[in-house]
Amino acid sequence: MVKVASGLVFVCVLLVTSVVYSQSNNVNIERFSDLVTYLETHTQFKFAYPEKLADVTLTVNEEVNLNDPKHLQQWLAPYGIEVVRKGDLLIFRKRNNATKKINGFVRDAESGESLVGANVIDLASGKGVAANTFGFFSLDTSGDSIAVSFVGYTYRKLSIKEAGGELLIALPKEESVLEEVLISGNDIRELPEISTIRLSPDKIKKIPVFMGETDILKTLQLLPGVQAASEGTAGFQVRGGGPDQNLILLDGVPVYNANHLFGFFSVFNADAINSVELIKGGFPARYGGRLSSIVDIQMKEGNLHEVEGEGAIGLVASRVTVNGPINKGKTSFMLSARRTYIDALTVPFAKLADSERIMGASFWDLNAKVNHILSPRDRIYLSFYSGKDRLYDDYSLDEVDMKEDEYAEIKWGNVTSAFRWNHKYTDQLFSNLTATYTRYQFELDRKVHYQYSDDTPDISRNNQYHSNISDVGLKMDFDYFLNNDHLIKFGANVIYHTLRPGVSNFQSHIQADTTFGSPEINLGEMYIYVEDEVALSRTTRANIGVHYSAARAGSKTYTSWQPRFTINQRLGHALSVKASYARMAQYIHLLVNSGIGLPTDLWVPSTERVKPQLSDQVALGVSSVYKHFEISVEGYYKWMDNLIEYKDGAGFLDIDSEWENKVEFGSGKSYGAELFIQKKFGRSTGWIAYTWSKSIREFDNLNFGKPFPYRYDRRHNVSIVYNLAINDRIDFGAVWVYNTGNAVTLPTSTYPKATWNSNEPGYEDFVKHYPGRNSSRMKDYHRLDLSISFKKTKRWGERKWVFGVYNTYSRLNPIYIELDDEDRLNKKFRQLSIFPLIPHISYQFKF
Amino acid sequence: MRNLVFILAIILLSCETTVDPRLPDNGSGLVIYSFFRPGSALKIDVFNTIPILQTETIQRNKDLKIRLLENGEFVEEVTANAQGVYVSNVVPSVENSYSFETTRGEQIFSAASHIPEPVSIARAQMSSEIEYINSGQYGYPAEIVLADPREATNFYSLEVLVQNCSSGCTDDDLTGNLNEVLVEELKVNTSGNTDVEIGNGPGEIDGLKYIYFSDEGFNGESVTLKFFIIPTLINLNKEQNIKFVLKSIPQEYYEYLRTSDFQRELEEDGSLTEPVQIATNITNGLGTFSGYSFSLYTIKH
Repeated sequence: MVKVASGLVFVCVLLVTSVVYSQSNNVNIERFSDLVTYLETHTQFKFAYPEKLADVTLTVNEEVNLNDPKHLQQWLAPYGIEVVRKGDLLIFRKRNNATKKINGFVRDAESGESLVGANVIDLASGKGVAANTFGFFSLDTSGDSIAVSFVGYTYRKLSIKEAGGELLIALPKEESVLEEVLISGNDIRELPEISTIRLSPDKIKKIPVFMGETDILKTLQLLPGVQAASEGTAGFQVRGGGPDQNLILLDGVPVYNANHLFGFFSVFNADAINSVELIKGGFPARYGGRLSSIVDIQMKEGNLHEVEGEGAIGLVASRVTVNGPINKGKTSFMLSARRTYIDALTVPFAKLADSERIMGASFWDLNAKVNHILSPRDRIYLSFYSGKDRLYDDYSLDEVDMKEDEYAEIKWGNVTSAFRWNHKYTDQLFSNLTATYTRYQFELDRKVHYQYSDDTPDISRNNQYHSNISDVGLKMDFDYFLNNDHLIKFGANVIYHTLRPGVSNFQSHIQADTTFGSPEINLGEMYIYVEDEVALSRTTRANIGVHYSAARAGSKTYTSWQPRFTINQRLGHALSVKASYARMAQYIHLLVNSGIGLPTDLWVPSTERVKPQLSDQVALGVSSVYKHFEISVEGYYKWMDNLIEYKDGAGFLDIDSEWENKVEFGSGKSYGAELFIQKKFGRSTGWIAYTWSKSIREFDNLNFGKPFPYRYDRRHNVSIVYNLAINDRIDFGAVWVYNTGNAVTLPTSTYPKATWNSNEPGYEDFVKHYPGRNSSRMKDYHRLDLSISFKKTKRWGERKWVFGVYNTYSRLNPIYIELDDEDRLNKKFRQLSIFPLIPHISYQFKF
Repeated sequence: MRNLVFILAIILLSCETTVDPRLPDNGSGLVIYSFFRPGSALKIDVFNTIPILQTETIQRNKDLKIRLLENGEFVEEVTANAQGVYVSNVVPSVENSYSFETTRGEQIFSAASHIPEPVSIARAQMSSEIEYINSGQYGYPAEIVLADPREATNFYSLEVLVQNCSSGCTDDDLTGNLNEVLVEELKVNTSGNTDVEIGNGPGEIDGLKYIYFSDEGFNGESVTLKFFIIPTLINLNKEQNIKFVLKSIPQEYYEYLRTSDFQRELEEDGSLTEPVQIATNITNGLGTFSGYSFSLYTIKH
């Protein structure tokens, strides 16, 4: 049906030419009327156009095939001219420039989960926006159709001719990932963003894992610029920063210790996670509070339509997740729980063997979330996480002359909760209010009791130690979709930190009860921000913003203006150059005892004496798409100030002096280059990540003021991740990791120590010479992990057997190295390696 | 704590292997020590370092020619005597500065130091009753009073010399043997009756033969330092001189004491913290070249 508006003049011309002429290279088309003349003489199409188009100025080049209506359509689109073909009839009309504003949510078709970062494109202009954290978007469109795409989901083109108000776009998951999804028409392929990587749990679950436990943080360690703290642990460092410089957000709430069992597992249960985003540079202004990275993890919201579940039974832990509607289409829930049973295996064995020592370790965690659609404009979410670790050692010795009882226990855990309220004020203005609470506590309890059969009085000691940090926060974020060229985000956040950096209680047979240590410290922190995701031209996009933060520490107020800037210049369809600058400030610090990521690492605030950490980072990168591959190369340079470290020899249990007396202040810098080649589609997927980096620290009172390598300074890091879908049922996965050996402080020689028994020194004893902090290197680290999974659809759902091997060629990678000089005639360096070849098996199910 | 970590590691199939890590040097070096004071000839001890995996032995280096300078002026070239000690004819004086230079191969070794003004002990006393502290250890409570000069940062080492008087006693020299001391919390009491924690030093001292501290926190004040004398050499039934020796030491001496004792203490504790590097003021070498002065306060019993 062709509708011709009144006032239009139709001109119909019948051409009786039977031959289609080829386009002349000498065609002179300067106005639309010239095009008409050309078409009249060179094609057999009938056509119609309004007279007012006649004077529209056009520019044609040799690449435009004027005989092809599709080419005509593309060529004329930028001139605001639409071409509609009806058989032999081509209708040219002025596009209705009154752009229509559409908005809505992009969700998973099955579960109703928000698809964070889904691309929504106006096909007429080729411009688009990305859905925000809650799946919301707002788009100006001058055409009749839009396209929606998201990795792992079916690409959809939607007609919006009749659409008005809010759209709810439900994207189905791709049936099969074996074929590449090619998007035709406008080139809406998004090239990788600078210093930002998004991972989906589906992708994470295909990677071979340690002891069968899928782990989000360990997957992050396989990305360029991210390094594992030590063997098998979930702790990580980003671009030469410290472990405290990563802001890990779970539904917008900071998680202060993301490790279970000394980091062998992270606290994030992959079954409960919807999306993960890692930002390691070019930070948008909406983020703040840490120097090196943001890990933004969103929990699943719960299926709004039907109950579903999944779980796994593994060698060390089992987990189950259930989610579904409470009120169909309106309210949903998600509940996920996990527990280890290492203690359930070891303790009974120890008791059976009548052992004097019984040791156990365990952890559990629980994720829960409820979301409710209050109205088309309002939605609320309530999310909760709690997890706890316990490690204990019970020793009892009963002898004739004495009875000895020793008990040691350490416990640590997080609690986080968030209430979020989404509100859509207008089609363009979306807000999210978040109220948060987070708490991390570490506890140590040690009891000793010796009883003697003779008259010797009993000896008893009881030491208890705890440290904790808790935050209460309120955050308001606004997304204002001004038009397709400007998405303005602004907001504010206030956080009230309460810290107890180490309190001890001591009782003994001599002393009744003594409590000492650091008092409770409060720190108020706030920030405001504004940023504009702006399209400077059709090929140039930028994010320009500013973040202002302040913290009140005692009588001192620290403030920081933090400009943020990223620019992305597209060069053709498949190449872009990116650059970024970001200044970051951090008002809380982690005092690290050693490099192995212990839960004893102590969170401390900025105080009148301890200044906030600051960093400036610049990054420059190129990214490209070549056939099935995304390729990205980035270089970065980061300067860090006001870093803190324990003084030589100080530690968390050295509670004789307050923590501020135990720290040194210094600076650091890190720089490096990262290569990331990723294949997301097809039968074979995976990536290669290579990082060359250097990270240096300089403290006036450490290493005699000389610069020294940071403990995680590793020159080369390589990760190769490969997944092969052998068929619809069988998946194969492989991971190979290589790192330069850890920097470590080792002695190179011994020499006599001056000692005094009288007024002259003597030299009977020896001391060790350490030529510099972290000046030695452990052996290089590498390992290969393999896994294969067999999936089968059952009446009740789907089951999967996963078999795997961690460290396939059983490389003895070092976790710790020390000098063994007990035997002075046979001194040697001993290396502790904790994970040789470890097979695993797990049974996973989904219903 | 450390046990718990390693227990967990063992649970998780740990294994130990002997390795040869990449060390930054071959462990060869020169160690030069000299602690000189007014009234005694300046002596220097020189040792070779021992590569870390070799058995520790005292290897004196007797092959050097050491040039000594006083206030920047050359005074003597010293060579080793039969025992391998470099004994000079220079007798240092308070407030003078001293330095040396020597070479081994193409490497030049040097250091400089001075002798600070002595600070006298205004008063000292020791209780004859043994007292126990929390950790179960015990000693004779003792204290000294000193008036810290205001001009600059001062560093001290307090020692307790016990001299048996069965064959005669001297009050004003350093004859005697050093007795172990104990400090539960290293702080001083100022004249305003305020306890001041001494920063940048050890929190406690247990079984050392000296208490080293700086005047950080009480610069220019008259203070009382309380401590315990462990009854190792002291015998109240014998006639003894108990000499409180307050050494005024330069920073290099203090840093040597602080770091070398701290390294040993951490090794004994089996701590997981970063090891302590021992301070040195010897350019291109190890050890300490430092002057000191002292004042005495003697108690007889």
